[in-house]
Order: sequence, then structure tokens, then C-alpha cells
Amino acid sequence: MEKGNPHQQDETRWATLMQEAQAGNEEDYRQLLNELATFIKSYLVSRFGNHCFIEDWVQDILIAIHEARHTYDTGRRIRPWLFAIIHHKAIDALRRKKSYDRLLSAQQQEALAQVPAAPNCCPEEALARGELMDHLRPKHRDALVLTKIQGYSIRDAARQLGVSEGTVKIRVFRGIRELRKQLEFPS
Amino acid sequence: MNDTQDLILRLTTGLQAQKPRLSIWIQAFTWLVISGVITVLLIHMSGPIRSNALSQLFSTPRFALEIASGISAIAALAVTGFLSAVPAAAHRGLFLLTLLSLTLFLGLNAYALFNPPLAPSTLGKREHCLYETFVYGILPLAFAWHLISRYYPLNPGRTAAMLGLSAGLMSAVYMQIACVYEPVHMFIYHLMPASLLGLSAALCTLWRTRFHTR
Repeated sequence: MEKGNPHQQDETRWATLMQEAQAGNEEDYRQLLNELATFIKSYLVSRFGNHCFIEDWVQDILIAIHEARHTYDTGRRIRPWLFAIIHHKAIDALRRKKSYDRLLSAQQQEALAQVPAAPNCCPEEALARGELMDHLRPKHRDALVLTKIQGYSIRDAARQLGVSEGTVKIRVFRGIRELRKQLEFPS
Repeated sequence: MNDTQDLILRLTTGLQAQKPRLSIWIQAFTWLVISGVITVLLIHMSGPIRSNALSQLFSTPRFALEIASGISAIAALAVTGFLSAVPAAAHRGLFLLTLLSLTLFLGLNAYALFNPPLAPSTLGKREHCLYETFVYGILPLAFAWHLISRYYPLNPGRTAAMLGLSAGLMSAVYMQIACVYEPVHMFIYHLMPASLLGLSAALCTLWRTRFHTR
């Protein structure tokens, strides 16, 4: 007997669980969201790196899945539906600088507590494990890292890179656009 | 229990069963038909249509092609707009098809500026066609928004723009039959207000989502 590959098994199981969730089955829905939380986190970490704000992104995505669950058509595959939501929310969160706010808040709290930053929160190291960022053009990646990950203002990032503020903004915009394309059409 | 676990517990407690909904395709086509009928009725109620328009439609193939391309652009925008309200339902190819339909319609009308299929005339002139085109599109647009607000458009601005343009083009295309046939007049008094309706819908939606982010 031919065993389905892991993706196919997930596809079938998640589609069934979502169908049950649409019928009001709390237990199946809880199982689905727990599995999706783990999956989404590992997906985001593999693409963006293991940052402190990834957990927030996971929660935002779970909320979006919850709000959109009625739009899932049980006759269609669930993975495209899921990934559309994941990609949209991830890019949206990056664009809104939520990562900057939370990273800054975390850094401030750590400074006050005089506790060294956990290894996983080191942006540069985490970025090295983020596939998506590695594939960006260097000038776009540098602009994104400085503004969205390390929390530099546009002015400070411009000073650091030795370019104008307008150039930084354009590079951030293009970097996010490249990330979106890579998420939707991975090479 | 961490925050995510707590969130999952809150989301799953007191879960309500979802009511089955009509297919988004059926909703899109229903909207097209009803809105088309409403638009035609409104235009007829507000004044007569150009007296020779129907005969021109049958006797001049290029004019018929302009109208047909307009109708296909309206349908493509509507279907893509409705499907874009469901995550992953609207494929990239559909957006491309919509763009091609719109380009064909605009291209034919642009070509008519240099080589009109009909002799331009002032027969059937409507005094307020610019405002009529815009206003008659509002009701279909509101109806469309009421239908898709029950879904989850990931890009509400884009969805609103497509549905707004589809609604606006309904009155714009029928005005090519009801009002004067004069290419420059059509661009300024029919197509421009239709485009404005699409733009207004997008801007209103973006403004609204700024305060009610999803």
C-alpha cells in the first residue's frame, strides 16, 4: 500500500479537522489550531529567522484563520488557503513594524532587568537562519534588518548605510516586495 | 500555559457551527445579473436612450465589439473581485485575464479616438451623464460590498477597487448605448466617473481598514 507523503497526510487531516470545526466541533478545532501553531512557527522561523516576535506573528495568524474559517471550501485543498493567510499576515506584520516595537520593548526590558539577551533573540544570528532574508539583495536586506529587525529609525538607518532617508524607504519597500514574491512564488 | 495556548483555548471555546453559504461564484453571477438589470432600469427611467443605438449595435461590428469587450471586462472584474474575498480562491491567471479584458476594452475605445466605428454625433445627449454614471454605480457597489463583507478579503482595497470599477463600468458601458457616441465624450463623461468610483471604493476601504485592521 502506498503511504501518503507528510504533506498529503497533513492536508487530509487538516481539511477534515477544519470541516469538523465548521460544524462546531471544539475538540477537533483545538487540535487543528495546535497543529497549525507548531507548523506556522516552524515555517516562519525557517523563512525569517528565530526572532522574539515570531510568536506574536503566529498568534496573529491563528486569529486570522479563526476569523476566516468560514471561507474555507471543504471541496478544495486547505494548504493554499492557509498559506494565503500566512503570507498576507506575515508581510503585513513586517510592514507595520510590529517586530520593531516588540523587539525594542524586549530590549528595554532586558536592559532594565540586566539580563543578557537570550541567544535566540540575537537578530544577526537568527537572521543567518532565515532563508528568505538570505535570498534578498544585500542592499534591501541591510535596510530591512536595520529598520524592521534591529529597530533603527529611517534616519539612523540612512546614517548607518550612508544613503538618504528616501533611499532607505525605497529599499525597505522593495525588500518587503521581494519577500512577498518569494513567499508566494518560492524558487 | 503560554500565550498561544491560551489564545487557542479562547478561540475554540464556545465554537458556533458555521451556516452553509452559497458558492462565491453563484454570488458573483447573481450580483452581475441583478446589478446589470438595476443599472439598465435606472438609465431608462432617467431618460430615453439614443434612438439609433440598437440598430448601430447590429449593423456595426466594431461598435458591438466595444460593447461586448466592456461587458466581458465588467464580468471579469466582478468575478475576480468576489473570488478575491476568499483566501487563495482567485488565481494569478484570473487577475491576468481581468487585466487583459480591461486592456482590450480600453484599447478599443482608445483606438476609436482616431478611427471611430460610428460617426460621432450629439444624438441622445444626456445633460448629466457624468453624474449619472457615478451615482448609478453606487447601489450595485454597496450591494457587492454587503455580499463580500461576510467573507475575508486579504487585500480589501484591491477587492473594493475591482468591484467599484465593475459597478461603474456597468453604467459607463450602457451609456455608450444610451448617451451620445463620441469617443472623447465617452472617456471624460463615462469612463472617468467609472474609474473614480473604483478609486473611491478602494480609498474608503483602505481608510476604514486603517482603523479596523484585520
